[in-house]
Amino acid sequence: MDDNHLIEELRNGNEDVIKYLYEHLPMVESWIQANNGSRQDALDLFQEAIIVFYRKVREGDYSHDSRISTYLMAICRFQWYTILKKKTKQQESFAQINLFSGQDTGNSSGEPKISQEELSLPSRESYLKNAIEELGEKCKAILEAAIFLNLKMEVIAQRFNFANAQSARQQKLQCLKRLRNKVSYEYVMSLD
Amino acid sequence: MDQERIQDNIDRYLSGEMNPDERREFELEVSQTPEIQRLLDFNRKLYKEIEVWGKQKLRKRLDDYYSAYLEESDLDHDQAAQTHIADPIPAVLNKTPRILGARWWRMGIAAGITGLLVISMIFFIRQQPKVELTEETPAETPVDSLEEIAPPDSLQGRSKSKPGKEGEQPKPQQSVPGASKEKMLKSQPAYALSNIKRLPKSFVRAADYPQQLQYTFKNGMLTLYGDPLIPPLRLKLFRQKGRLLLQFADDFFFIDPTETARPLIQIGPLSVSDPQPLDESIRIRLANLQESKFTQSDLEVWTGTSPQQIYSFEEKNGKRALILGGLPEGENPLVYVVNGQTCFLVLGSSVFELDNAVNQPVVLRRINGASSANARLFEGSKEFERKVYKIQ
Repeated sequence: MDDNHLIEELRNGNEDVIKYLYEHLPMVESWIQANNGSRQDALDLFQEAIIVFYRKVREGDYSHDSRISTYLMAICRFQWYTILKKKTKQQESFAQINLFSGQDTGNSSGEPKISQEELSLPSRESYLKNAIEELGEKCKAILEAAIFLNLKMEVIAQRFNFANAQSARQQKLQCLKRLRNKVSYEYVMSLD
Repeated sequence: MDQERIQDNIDRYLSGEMNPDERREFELEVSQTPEIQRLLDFNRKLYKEIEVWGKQKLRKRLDDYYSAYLEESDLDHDQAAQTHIADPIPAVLNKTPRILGARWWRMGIAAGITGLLVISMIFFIRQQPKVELTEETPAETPVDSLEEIAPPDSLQGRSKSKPGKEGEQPKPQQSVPGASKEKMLKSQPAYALSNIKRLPKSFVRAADYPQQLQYTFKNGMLTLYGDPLIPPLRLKLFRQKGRLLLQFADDFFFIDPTETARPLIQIGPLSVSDPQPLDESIRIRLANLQESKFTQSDLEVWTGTSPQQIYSFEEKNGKRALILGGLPEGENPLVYVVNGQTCFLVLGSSVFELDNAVNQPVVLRRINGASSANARLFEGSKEFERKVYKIQ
């Protein structure tokens, strides 16, 4: 599918065209594999790059003349360098520990270290997520469009059949109020 | 006070819909009214969570699209399909450390990269008008310092300019008080930092990477702006009927003499057959991000005097702020927020990458092109020569 066509479709909310983006995945895979990564790493990075791309397009903020593939590749490259650097840091700390225990690290795959915080993530995560999930479908859709996709109120008004941007905003604020009422201020503020 | 108005303001503030005047006025109101401050903080958390939630939902849909792609694609992808089927992790196994590791990895990337990207994009970039500041040159900033720290040597040099501090770098977390002090640190830095000053806004910049490629072409030198990490081998030059063409990956662009930066405009697909080497070569320079387009970032940066070169991300007046300590005098610090996510500190010819997750003072670590490709985003520009080929 032609790049411009794909962007146009995506901008109009036709998400299905995302599947065509995966045609660029093999390119990312071979690059990541040549740079000490696995196919799974490549897929993860690629999905993240799609999310960045998708949001830019939906927000109407995508303006690149180079091909989508070039753009996705550049994001993956950038992210992978960032991750490699973090991995190296972790391996350094592994190496230090293992120096004393006299063992080889043998951890070339760079399995990330898990901290206590990460192990206890789910309960923290699920608290707010459950509250969001409990909202009505319409509220969820509005919050997703307004906050996650950062769509303009005018666009939301059109999509959800509100009279105007102002009433769309009022609906958004109503939904947020419902969400606030579902959760405890003290608990939310104690997170992170 | 009118609750509805407050909620409306908070929403417009967090959504980046206020103009600078409104924002200033609102921030003033927030700083004077603890109740609004509380509400703002509360809402900020909820917005953040909605972002994360929305992202996770999209991520799930992406898995479906990936499956759809695998089904539709031809035999070429058979192998990929097998990997995909083999990959999903049985839920029961999730408790084992290895699998948890794999989960962490995925979550880490998911929450880490785009979570931060997404969140910080909202909170840093969205609130600011896009201004181009490319021409701006930094003015003098007074950065107080108790001790004379020699400016770090150039990027090409070895990073051993401060032998006394080397030993402390591998375990920066231990150089700060224990985790129990974390709460305290939030309200008031417990480490020695004095003469705290806000870094002028023009020194804190938001840049996208990659950016739309732009170029100048003068005096036989082609300068490309927007992606300093382009592998030189991916660039080729051709002449077609006397006109210069640049090939980058599979794309072709016309290059005409221009002294001011122009966007690269892609020309339709081109089949290059039978290229003949010409007796001509052109120098290509990949400009670093500092020369490329950037906007003013909303991230607040504070500098202070400290015996060590440290940094930390902390809440200050309810906003995330970057605290820098012990920077050498006479050098203007520049902070770049790339893609609203990763922060870099540029001090003269030295580049430091700052970890977003650091919320306690940590010793600054220099990066260079050898240790981190990201350093190349800011290092001196790369220059090389390319032969020109003639095509029909």
